[in-house]
Amino acid sequence: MIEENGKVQKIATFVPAGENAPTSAPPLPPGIYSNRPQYRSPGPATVMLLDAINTPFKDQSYARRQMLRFIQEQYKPGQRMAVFTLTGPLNELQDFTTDPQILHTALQRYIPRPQEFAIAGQPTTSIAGGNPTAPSTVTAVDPATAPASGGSSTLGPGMAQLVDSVQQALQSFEGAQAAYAEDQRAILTLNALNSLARILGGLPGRKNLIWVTGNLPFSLIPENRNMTDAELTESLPSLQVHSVEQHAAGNQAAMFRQSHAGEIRETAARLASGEVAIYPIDARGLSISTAIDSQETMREMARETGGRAYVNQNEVRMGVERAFEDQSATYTLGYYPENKKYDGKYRQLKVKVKRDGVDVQSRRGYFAIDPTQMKDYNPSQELASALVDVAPATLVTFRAQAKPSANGKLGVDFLVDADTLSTEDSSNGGKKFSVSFFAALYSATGKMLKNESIRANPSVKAEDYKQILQHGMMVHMDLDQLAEAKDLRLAVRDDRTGYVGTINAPVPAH
Amino acid sequence: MKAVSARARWFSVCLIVLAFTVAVYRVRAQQSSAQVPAPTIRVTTHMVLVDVVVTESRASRPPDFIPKIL
Repeated sequence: MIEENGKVQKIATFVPAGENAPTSAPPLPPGIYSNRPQYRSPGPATVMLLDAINTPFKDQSYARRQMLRFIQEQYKPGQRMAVFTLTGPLNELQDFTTDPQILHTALQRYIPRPQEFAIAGQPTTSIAGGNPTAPSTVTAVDPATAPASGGSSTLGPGMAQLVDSVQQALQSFEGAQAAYAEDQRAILTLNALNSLARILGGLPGRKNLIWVTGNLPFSLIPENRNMTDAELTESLPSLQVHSVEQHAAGNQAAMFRQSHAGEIRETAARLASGEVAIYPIDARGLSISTAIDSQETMREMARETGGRAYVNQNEVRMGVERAFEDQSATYTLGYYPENKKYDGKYRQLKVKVKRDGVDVQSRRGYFAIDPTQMKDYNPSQELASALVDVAPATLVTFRAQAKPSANGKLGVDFLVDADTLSTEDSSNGGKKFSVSFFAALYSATGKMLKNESIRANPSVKAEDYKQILQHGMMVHMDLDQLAEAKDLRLAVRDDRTGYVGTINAPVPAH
Repeated sequence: MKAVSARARWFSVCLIVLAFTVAVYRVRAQQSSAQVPAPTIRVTTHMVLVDVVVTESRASRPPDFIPKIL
């Protein structure tokens, strides 16, 4: 039984574990490319994200060793995983594979690095590390005891006042610098989550995102959600030192959440509709530090997405194993909400089972956002971001073929899976699409050389719509041939929802 | 040989769909020439998907009776 805001909903679909995973498809013919799930990740998908921008250097090294041990000792045949890194932008270390040797080699290639935007001299492993309100690392100078030459008595009242004002200015500057660094890290992290929502969102079934990090810069928890008794119990250690209001997320995480509420809400909605469950793994392992707020943020991120947090424990690789175990115990329910008003508000979800003695874990709710009405959505920016993502976006799936045309151009054929496109109903019983097609040529150094686009808004009769659903929607585009072009990036965007699919392919020889 | 047949299949699919797409655009062109835009009715229906992990208490093993307990 499933309840939305306390009201029982009628379950429309029930998919047992493992049954919604795409089966592998035969290889595509040469020159044809696709971002369909069966070519991206046949089988349940798990992603490991090694977060270098929110994790101190030494903790990255520890986490890397733990992940290598996990691959060597605990990785089971058939488990499928991709490895991404967050070192500023999102990078792909290894695409989906079931081969533990390939994963091991990829992890060995990963070199821990100093945190981006870290403040020199700041103790980033502690809770005060990124908090602009924490005591400054600028050495406190008391004008009365300052070891000035000749002793403090030599400082006249004017000089003491000057020292005091300089000290305040330095502290203020450092606070602003720390706040800027935290903000930049949070924005990069939010961008990475949006990229992952595009990359994973079109793959069917639940996707586990194992996020190996030292600190999450924000939480996805809605501002107005109350914590359950179970959550309060789980978080008891932090409640002993913080009020409930502070506890809702770490101080810095809460500040960022307030200043970027709209974007976070929409990212949360994308992750939820993409069935992405987050498993934060605290890269610091067992810690006696005061990093309670950041651990709480990890717990909240897990609760909101249906994952689990593995914090303040040694052997963090065990947390990864648990994520894989959950994958095989996942069932998918679907329902059409009785409340049809998509007002952007948060709706709480509760799944109940009839039998005692079982643990039930699912996301706590969702934002009722109509993707066609997203306020902070910028279609051009979304497309530009998708084109530079490190892996194909899968929210719109298609096949494509590029080959030199007789007219000396580079011909590109798109064949779009129409069931991944939204439509509007026409009064004559037909459907109306709103789709844009993009093709861009890139140099070997990643510079965009040229791009073309076509917009299509066909209205079709009901019987023709069935044909399009069955065979796909095809569009042809011609591009100028450029000698220095090496890569071809193709994108299809549903202009109503903003959902994008992309394919990267080499430019065929002409 | 396999690649050739697959390519031929792809080409034939493309031809079918291209012919169909032309038909689609023809329909659109007729509508435009009549200067009567087809009114559209927005119906937004989203299915909410919820993934549920069900494990026996104190174990990660999934129970085998899930369809009966929900």
